[in-house]
Amino acid sequence: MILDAFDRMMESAARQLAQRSSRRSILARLGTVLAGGAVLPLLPVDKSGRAKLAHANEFAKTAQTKDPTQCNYWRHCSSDGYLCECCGGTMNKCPPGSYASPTSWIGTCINPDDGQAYLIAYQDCCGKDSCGLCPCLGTEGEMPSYRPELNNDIVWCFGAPSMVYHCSSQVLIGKA
Amino acid sequence: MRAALRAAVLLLAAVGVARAADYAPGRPLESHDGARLDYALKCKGCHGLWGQGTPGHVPRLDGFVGLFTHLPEGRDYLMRVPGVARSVLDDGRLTAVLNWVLATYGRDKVATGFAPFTVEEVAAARLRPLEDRKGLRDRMLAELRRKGLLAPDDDGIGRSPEPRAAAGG
Repeated sequence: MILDAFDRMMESAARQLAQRSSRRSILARLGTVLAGGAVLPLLPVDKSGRAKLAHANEFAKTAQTKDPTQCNYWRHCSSDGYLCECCGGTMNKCPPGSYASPTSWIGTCINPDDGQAYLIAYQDCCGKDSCGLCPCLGTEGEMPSYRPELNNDIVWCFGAPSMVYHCSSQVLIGKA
Repeated sequence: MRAALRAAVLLLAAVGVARAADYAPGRPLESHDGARLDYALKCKGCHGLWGQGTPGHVPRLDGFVGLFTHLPEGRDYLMRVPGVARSVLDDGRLTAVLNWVLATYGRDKVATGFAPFTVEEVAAARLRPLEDRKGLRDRMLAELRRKGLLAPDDDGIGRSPEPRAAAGG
């Protein structure tokens, strides 16, 4: 009974479709969809940078350019750890008693004053116990820890004389 | 013919880049885009701000990476080393970075007539991970020394600094 009704419904739907459309129009529509689908990926869509920059823009919206000891200072969009600025160092110089790591984690932050994106090398200062002051957790451009080379949770002291992490500096190395 | 033309264009682009030093402390900040930007964000942290590498950990590129172009396995090796093959960059951008690196850090060490990498070969090569990276690298360095292209005590990586607890002061 139910199957009969279902049969009738399908039949009538199929007939209506057949009456309304010619085979050529179906082919034409199908062709449009196929061709359009093939061309769509060729359209100039920036799959990489734009989304990231959108996040950087988010941080920049509330960022300030006056006080580098605050986590919302513009350069700290990817700072993960203690700010050297609070630990006796500066954004460009490790505190006395610590070594600048030769490796760094490089990210992009936007300076809200000029709207320009800058490349920043987050260089850990190593060889001294954790500074413990001004902890910040910037995650801009970061990848999970199974991509360690793009993760900023890990200690970037490779190549320094000690793997003990002290604080993070933020060196400007270019414009993006 | 088209491939040759494309290779020539790539090479010209590469030579244009080679004139610009990549980074020097204290110099005005330079703009980064394309392969230079990708390289900066994905590779430079460990290969060093001016390609000097991280002693004991990551090889220098400057004046060193080009040496591999003198060996038959070198081309394949450069596309398959873990940092390259495992990159998050897609094949096209990765290829551009490889060519940019050779143009910028290859200096006069790149073999004459070495053709720029193509997207197709990089796409294929990165699917074949290097199973004995160190063994292959050691054999290639030995061959470079035999050819007189590499100093006996130079392995491109050097040694980590002596471990120290604290810098004092």
